[in-house]
Amino acid sequence: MKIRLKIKYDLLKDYIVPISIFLAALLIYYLGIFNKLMFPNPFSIIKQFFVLMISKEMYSEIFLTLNRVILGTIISILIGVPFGLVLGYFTKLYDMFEFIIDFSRSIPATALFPLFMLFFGIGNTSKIMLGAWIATLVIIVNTSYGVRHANKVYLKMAKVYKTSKMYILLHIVFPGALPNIFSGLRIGVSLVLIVVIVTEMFIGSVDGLGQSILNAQLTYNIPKMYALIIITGMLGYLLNILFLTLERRIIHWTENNNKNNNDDKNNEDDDNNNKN
Amino acid sequence: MTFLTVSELNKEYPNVHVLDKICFEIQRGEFVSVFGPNGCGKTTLLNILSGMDNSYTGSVKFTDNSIRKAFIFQNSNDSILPWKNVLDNLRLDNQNIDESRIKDVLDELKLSNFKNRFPYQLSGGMKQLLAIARSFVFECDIIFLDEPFSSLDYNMAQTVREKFLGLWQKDKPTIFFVSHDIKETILLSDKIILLSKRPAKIKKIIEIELPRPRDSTILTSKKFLEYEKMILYEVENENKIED
Ligand SMILES: Nc1ncnc2c1ncn2[C@@H]1O[C@H](COP(=O)(O)OP(=O)(O)O)[C@@H](O)[C@H]1O
Ligand SMILES: [Mg+2]
Repeated sequence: MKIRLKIKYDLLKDYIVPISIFLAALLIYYLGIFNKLMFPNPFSIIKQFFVLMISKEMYSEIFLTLNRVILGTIISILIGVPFGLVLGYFTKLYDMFEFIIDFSRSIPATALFPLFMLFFGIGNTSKIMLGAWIATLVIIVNTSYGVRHANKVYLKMAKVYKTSKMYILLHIVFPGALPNIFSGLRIGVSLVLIVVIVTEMFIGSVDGLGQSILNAQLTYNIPKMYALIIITGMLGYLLNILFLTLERRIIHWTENNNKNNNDDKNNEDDDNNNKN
Repeated sequence: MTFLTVSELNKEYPNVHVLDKICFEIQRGEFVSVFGPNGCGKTTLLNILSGMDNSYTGSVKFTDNSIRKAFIFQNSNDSILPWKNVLDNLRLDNQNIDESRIKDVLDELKLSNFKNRFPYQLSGGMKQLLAIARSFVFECDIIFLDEPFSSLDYNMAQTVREKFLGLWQKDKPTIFFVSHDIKETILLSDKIILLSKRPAKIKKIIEIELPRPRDSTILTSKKFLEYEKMILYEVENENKIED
């Protein structure tokens, strides 16, 4: 009996809050608290969502947005990680760059969109580059933090065994910074998504999820607008899960990511076998 | 043959005078231990001799400049890279390492079955053995060990110590060992450097003339007990002067 209740709870616990919110929305809709144009029937939003998914009408827009986000993220990784590693390792260099990086990070990315349009035009490139710009800064900051706070004793060990500088950077400093690099990546990819969606709404844009959301609003297709917002949210959520899964796969040696770590019993058995 | 000459070695941290005019010599193949109270500067001395710390005055001279050094830290987690398996931890970036030597060392330490495991799949004792294995795989001329068994429980420490001695007896690299366990120090060493409280001076250098190979039966021999008494006397003597 207890077990059955527990299983039910486990199945339910992820859904309790979303379902409650949906029910509350229904209530608000039927009580007519907000204008029904702004706040349409929640069922019509869900219907719209499935219509969009089944008709595949939005697939090309989703693909375009996703494409921009992925390209922006890849560029920011390629620039941010090596740069962050070098800055974190050479503290003098870090001191020189710290101010300019923090300052650049403080400029809201969207304020730079006109500038990026000047350089990269109003097409794809400026959207991707603006996303890459802000994510690169975040990745640099996280990576260099990971390097500076890595276990210093490994470096002493490397010094005693006279390993090469390249080995220290790629096999000691880099893996040690990986947990921080990954948290930078996860923040980075969500920033790229924000920037891409916003820039897609700008004048001159003709495609992408951002443009579709804006269009739905301009044509008063409000259920569609809500459905597209939900799709965008799902995109961000899935990207985050993708990076979390990658992180668990790659960083298998930290406590959270392997089951073996606290399994001392297992280890003792190994030792006993080992003696014989 | 003289292997290492240390003279007038002084070390100060801001506000702390740690090492005070340390002078001694060690011979190739000698098993030398440093014994002294907690916080007197043993780890500091090891860091300097092993080349990890270059800020000191005085001189530290190895007769041969091309010698290979190894360092075993007190905590095995400090010398083992958690993201590399046993074999890669042994090799580091050394491309031309002798594979048969790796095999011999792993066999001797009975670690062969674990060569593809990751450190988090090993016990503390095995990780410390792995750190020891690396110093022998690299065929180091001198191995510095900083209280290498102190973080292990009694039985595990015993096992690791025995395996370490087994390896040492084969090639006899020079050993520079830190301990604060009197019996362990006498059992292992050819020479014991007794340090005073901080700032650490050398109080006495004792040559241990017990026959090798030694096992635990020697712990109750008359000579062993005499050495133990001698060291205890020095330690207590210092405490008295303090009071
Ligand atoms: N990086 C450091 N900065 C300042 N003081 C230090 C530092 N490292 C060690 N000390 C001091 O030097 C003394 C000797 O330390 P240590 O060599 O670790 O002692 P032991 O290994 O003999 O226990 C201690 O009093 C310690 O507080
Ligand atoms: Mg110490």
